[in-house]
Amino acid sequence: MTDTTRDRPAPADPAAGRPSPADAAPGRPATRPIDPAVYRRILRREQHSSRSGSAIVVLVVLTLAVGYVGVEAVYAALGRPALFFSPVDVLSTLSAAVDGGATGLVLAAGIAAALVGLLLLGLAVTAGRRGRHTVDDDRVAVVVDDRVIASSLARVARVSGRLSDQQVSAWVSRRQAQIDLTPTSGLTVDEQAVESAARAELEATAYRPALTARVRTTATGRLGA
Amino acid sequence: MTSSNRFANRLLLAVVGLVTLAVGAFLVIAALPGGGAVRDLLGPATTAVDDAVAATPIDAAGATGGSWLPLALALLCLLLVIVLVVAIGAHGHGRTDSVVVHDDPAGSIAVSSSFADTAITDALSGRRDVASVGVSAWTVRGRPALKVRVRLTAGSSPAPVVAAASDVVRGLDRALGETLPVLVEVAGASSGRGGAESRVA
Repeated sequence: MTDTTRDRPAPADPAAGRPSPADAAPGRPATRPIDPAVYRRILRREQHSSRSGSAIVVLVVLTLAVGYVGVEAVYAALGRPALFFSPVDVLSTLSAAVDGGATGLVLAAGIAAALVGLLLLGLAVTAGRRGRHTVDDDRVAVVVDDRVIASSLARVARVSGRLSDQQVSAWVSRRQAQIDLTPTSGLTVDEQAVESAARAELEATAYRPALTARVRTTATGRLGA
Repeated sequence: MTSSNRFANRLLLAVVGLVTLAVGAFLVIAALPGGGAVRDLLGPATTAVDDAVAATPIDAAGATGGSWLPLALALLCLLLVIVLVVAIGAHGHGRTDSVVVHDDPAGSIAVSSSFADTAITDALSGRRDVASVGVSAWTVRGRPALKVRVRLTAGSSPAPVVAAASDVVRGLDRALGETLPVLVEVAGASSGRGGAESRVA
């Protein structure tokens, strides 16, 4: 077996996927290689919200509502007066409210229900990204919090621009890393040095999706920073 | 890495959202001045419910006078509550205790996940850029997989830690004689949840 995996630059070849561990360590007895589909599944699930929290909230609310309707149904079946409303005459109560001038209340309830419905639909449809990037590795699947990347970029910017903690802030979105510099009043900031250092830091690790660094210096400096 | 059914979660949110939205839209249209056509639906529906209640007496002789429909509704609600509680309990499973299980004729060999935990934690926690390490074992597609959660100290670069973790896992492969799927999760030191707020100083 010719060892081509060693020479291949990992960041430049997205089609390579994850080489099997047997390729990565040719000296070892090959054990059962890891199915790339398992890593794809793990990484996909780690990068998106499971929506379990929202689903559990909805389930708990539904449980309470259904349980309450059940209690009212028992009261109605026993022929006793309803606690709050009887499930048997919900519709007549509603039509009486609509006809009898309580339209404001019905309108407010309708708007509230429609808004909750839209919110739930939005939660169901949107991707729910968790603010994480993956890094290619021969052996393990990796997710890195965007906070960690931003934090390391901020440190690099501090060191390369000779700035203090308060003068640098950084954030990382899906495809972009933004570094904001606040110069000390009367002094210039070496933006070029910061930018090349941030580029070098990002290029040292093959984040997916790829990140491009942008450095911005605020127009107004700060005294004593 | 829990085994929660994510499609089911989203389906539940979509269905409940659609029903809630439909009910809300119905109420809004019925309450607005132009909703006469929708309001006219309420009358026949009300009489239909009354007729159904009148046509379903518990006692055929009509002595008690009650309908069995509310009773059926109560039973339906009880059933639904049981289903909902089971659905709530179905979330968050998938952890496992053993990372390797060999069934030999002579007996069964299991390697506990705490072995992998100790090995990886000991190897990584000495590093200066690592604040803490946590290892948990999960079942992914029927096979055990490890999740290594590494918290970095503020400002550390993630790349050297990832490389070190990869080497440690290769060492674990040699010790176990089997390659496990391993997820390395690199998180910040201070954040409780991580990922939510990415702006740092």
